[in-house]
Amino acid sequence: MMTEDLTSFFDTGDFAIAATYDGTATVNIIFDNAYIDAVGISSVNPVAYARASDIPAAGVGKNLVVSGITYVIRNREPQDDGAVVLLQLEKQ
Amino acid sequence: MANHVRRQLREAIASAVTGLTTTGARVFQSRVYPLQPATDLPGLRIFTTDEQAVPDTIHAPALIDRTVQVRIEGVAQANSDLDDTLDLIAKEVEIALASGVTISGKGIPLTYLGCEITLNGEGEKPTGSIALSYEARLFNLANAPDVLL
Repeated sequence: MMTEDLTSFFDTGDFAIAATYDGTATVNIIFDNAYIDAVGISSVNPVAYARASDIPAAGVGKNLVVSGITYVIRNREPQDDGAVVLLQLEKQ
Repeated sequence: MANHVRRQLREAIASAVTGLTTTGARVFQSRVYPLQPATDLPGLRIFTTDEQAVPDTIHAPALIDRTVQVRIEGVAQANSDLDDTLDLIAKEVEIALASGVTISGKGIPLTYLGCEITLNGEGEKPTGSIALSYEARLFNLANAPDVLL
């Protein structure tokens, strides 16, 4: 079985930033906060890509602090082979 | 010349629902652009979406019997109890419109037809809307669509 090395994808020297998961753990994520029109409300949609090993399924409902802003992880969506997950975040 | 009776209806409804406890002065008529969370929520959007008309007389100018569909959308954004907020908005609007509205001294009943609730988990906070459907009948002569009879 091939073991993927995702280190370069989540290098903070490139597109990733460090975030604090569940109050203590530092994880590298790729954060996005693009515009969204939700039921006619101008808003942004905070999401983050992370290594699945950093954010387990039990992470849904836990906090992720990104650039000083606290979000709650509301959904964890495995991507492709599941090594990377897309997190739907809710701003607190 | 006064405004079209449909506009008079829309403005009378907007006036009746302005100042409600939850939505305050955040009442928007025929708003086509998205609401801004910092200034517009929780708020109300009012649309006159559709109209059916039939002539009630055979001589010109005909007496026009209009049935106007009105859509009043309560919109909110919240981390919790979003459904409760939307129902509270609906309660306040329904009470405010229960006796209808007055246009040019004439009482116009508004018939409540139902509602549609939409909830969305995307975005930085959950967002939702509750669209209340109403119907109003307006009468005017064909050559005077600004004069309510």
